[in-house]
Amino acid sequence: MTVERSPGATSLIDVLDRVLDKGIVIDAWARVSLAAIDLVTVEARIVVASVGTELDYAKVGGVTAPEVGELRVPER
Amino acid sequence: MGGTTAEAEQRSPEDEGKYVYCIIPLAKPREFGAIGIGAGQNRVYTVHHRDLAAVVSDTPIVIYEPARENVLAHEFVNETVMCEFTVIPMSFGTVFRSNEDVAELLRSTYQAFTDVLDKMKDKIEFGVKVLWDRERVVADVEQTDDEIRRLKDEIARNAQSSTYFARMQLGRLVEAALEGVSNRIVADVHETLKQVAVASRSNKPIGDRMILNAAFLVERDREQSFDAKVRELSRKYEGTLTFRYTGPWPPYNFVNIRLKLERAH
Repeated sequence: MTVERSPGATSLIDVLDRVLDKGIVIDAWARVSLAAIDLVTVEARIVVASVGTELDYAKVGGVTAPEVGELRVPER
Repeated sequence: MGGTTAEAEQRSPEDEGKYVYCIIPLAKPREFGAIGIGAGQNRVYTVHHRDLAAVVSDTPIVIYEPARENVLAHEFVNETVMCEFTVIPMSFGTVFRSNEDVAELLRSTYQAFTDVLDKMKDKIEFGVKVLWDRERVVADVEQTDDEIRRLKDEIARNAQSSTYFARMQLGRLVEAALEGVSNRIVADVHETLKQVAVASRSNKPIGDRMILNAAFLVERDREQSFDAKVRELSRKYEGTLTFRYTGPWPPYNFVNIRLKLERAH
């Protein structure tokens, strides 16, 4: 018996593991505010707080992600 | 009643928001079908700024609960878009007020999003979880580790007199041996899959049986090679390990962009 690959959207746990706090993330307060204000007319704008891409291999045996490849964009 | 409130109340509460799924490199408008989140079949389309596009669908302005159908709808749209494009996925539940606001997002984040899209170009993510049958590995270790076998026999022979400490020592030896076995397997899996991946991340294993919870970033044209390596590993450890292999995913584990709201000057 060999392993079969399942498409992402078939496992709820695997999906939740990813979609809740990975990728492009807007903090909870800003998320609620976004729904309440017009960015084009109101005195607020959305900016990048930080950008990181993880383009290295995980340290074997460790459970933490490597910090290598981290690129910080200064706040504007 | 103030002017702003009256104005806000005049807006239709229906379908005035835009749910954002992901960012892709695309200059021309594009439709992805009626697969959007929420009740009704909401069409999924693009909002542009220069050569960047946000993939969106119309939605009432609501806070979406991460309920099964919502979360799967979010993921399904991303996977559909990913068939053709490099994507940077948005986390679940981001709703903007209008297409102008979405375009404004693209404008203010243009450089950062363009850089990240460039790095993720033609790359997809796969999930690999490895579970073991702990009892079986314990039985194995008791057979193969000389010291553990000796101590176990000794305790068995002197059932009456064997001390609490001998049993404690046995327990510690077994735990250490298990950790060694687990580390060797995890290292082997990583080393094998590294050959066909451009990056990897280890997340915390979930539950007692899981010894590896990893994500791998793979070039699209090496998908077959990656598949082959995972199968090779599952055959090698057949009977001891269970592999849970998923994907392709958008590169969630390899992109971490934080956005915030700032007062305009």
